[in-house]
Amino acid sequence: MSKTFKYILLSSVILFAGLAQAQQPQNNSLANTKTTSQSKKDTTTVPVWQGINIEIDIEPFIENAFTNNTNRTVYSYQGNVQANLKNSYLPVIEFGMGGATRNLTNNTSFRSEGMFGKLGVDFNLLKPKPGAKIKNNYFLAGARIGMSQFNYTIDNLIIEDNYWGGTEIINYSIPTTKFWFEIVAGVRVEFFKNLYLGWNVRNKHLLNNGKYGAVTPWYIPGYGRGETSAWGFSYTVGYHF
Amino acid sequence: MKKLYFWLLPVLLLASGLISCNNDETCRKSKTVLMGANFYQDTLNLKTNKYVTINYKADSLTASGVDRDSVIYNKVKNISEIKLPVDKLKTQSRFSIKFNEVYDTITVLYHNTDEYLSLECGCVRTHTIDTVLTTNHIIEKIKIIQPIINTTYVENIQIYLAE
Repeated sequence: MSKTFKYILLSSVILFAGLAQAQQPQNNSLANTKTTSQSKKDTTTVPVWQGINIEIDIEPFIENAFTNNTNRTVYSYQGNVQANLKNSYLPVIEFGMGGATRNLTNNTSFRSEGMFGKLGVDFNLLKPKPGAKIKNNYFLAGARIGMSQFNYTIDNLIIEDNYWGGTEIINYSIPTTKFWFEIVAGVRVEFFKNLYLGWNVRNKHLLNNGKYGAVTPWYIPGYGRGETSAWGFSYTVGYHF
Repeated sequence: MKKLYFWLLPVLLLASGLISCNNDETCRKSKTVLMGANFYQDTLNLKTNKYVTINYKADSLTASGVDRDSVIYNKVKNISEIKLPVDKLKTQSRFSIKFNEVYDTITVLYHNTDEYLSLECGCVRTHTIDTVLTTNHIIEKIKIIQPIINTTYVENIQIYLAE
């Protein structure tokens, strides 16, 4: 992953930490003098059940339109169902399907296809001002555990002996299950009544990629690419029920 | 201003992600697998009357695979170690080694293991030495030190030459 990407990510985290701070009361000293009973009143006025959000991720459509070509095709369709508890805790189930093909100039090719699911929770880091009307904007941070069960094939891997002569071609067809965890941070805003737009950045860490020398997939549905870790980006459109 | 950040940052992140999606096929990992062999000689120490092992340097050495036209080393002077490519597609390789004017043939028996590197690099075939046989015109014996032959160069066998 390029350094530029890391700098942008770091900048966005700092920026949104600043935005979150901006949501706090301007006069901190005044806020600190509020009584405990008033704070309790503010938090207990929010009912536990705040409904559910159903979202789809449109980022893969954008990315695939720019990066797919005859040598490289990646596709992914994914969505999520997220409950909203007290406007602070948002458990989520994500699911989808994905796959990839990759053709190298030496005729080696890779293909994968499968389903994936993720389970996790987000926390809303934006706290409404005491007594203020609750706005349906969120600065979310959370985590996921992901799993993908899929098949992949690698064809025409060539073993060539330049001194003794001869060539051997190896083909693999492997069913596998991969697990990973993700750290997620992002924002979501209500742009029309009950309609939401949001985006988030994910740092993914693969939990079982086999020992050194083992055959590994070039692309894992739901996880993407990367031998031990990967970055991901989602752009979501959702509806609140 | 906040609205600007909301739209601008994801666009930058997406653009950065797209830039990093390149189609580079370059393999940057080593795929060279060679069996390392060093030369030794047991010499009698006249003071202690015991044999000591010393490194041996061949005045001239020529090495090639048996039945292969191309040579691996051609009359190389003052050489004390060689690196030999074993046959990746078989489990036995025979080498003809000429020390000065004396020929010996060594036969290496091994089994193969494929190690996957990446889609771009493919597989590298490593070997584990089971047995090494030799004729004894000038070579006295051969010891297996490190049976695994892989991309890391090590001394796999020690070739002892007669005095």
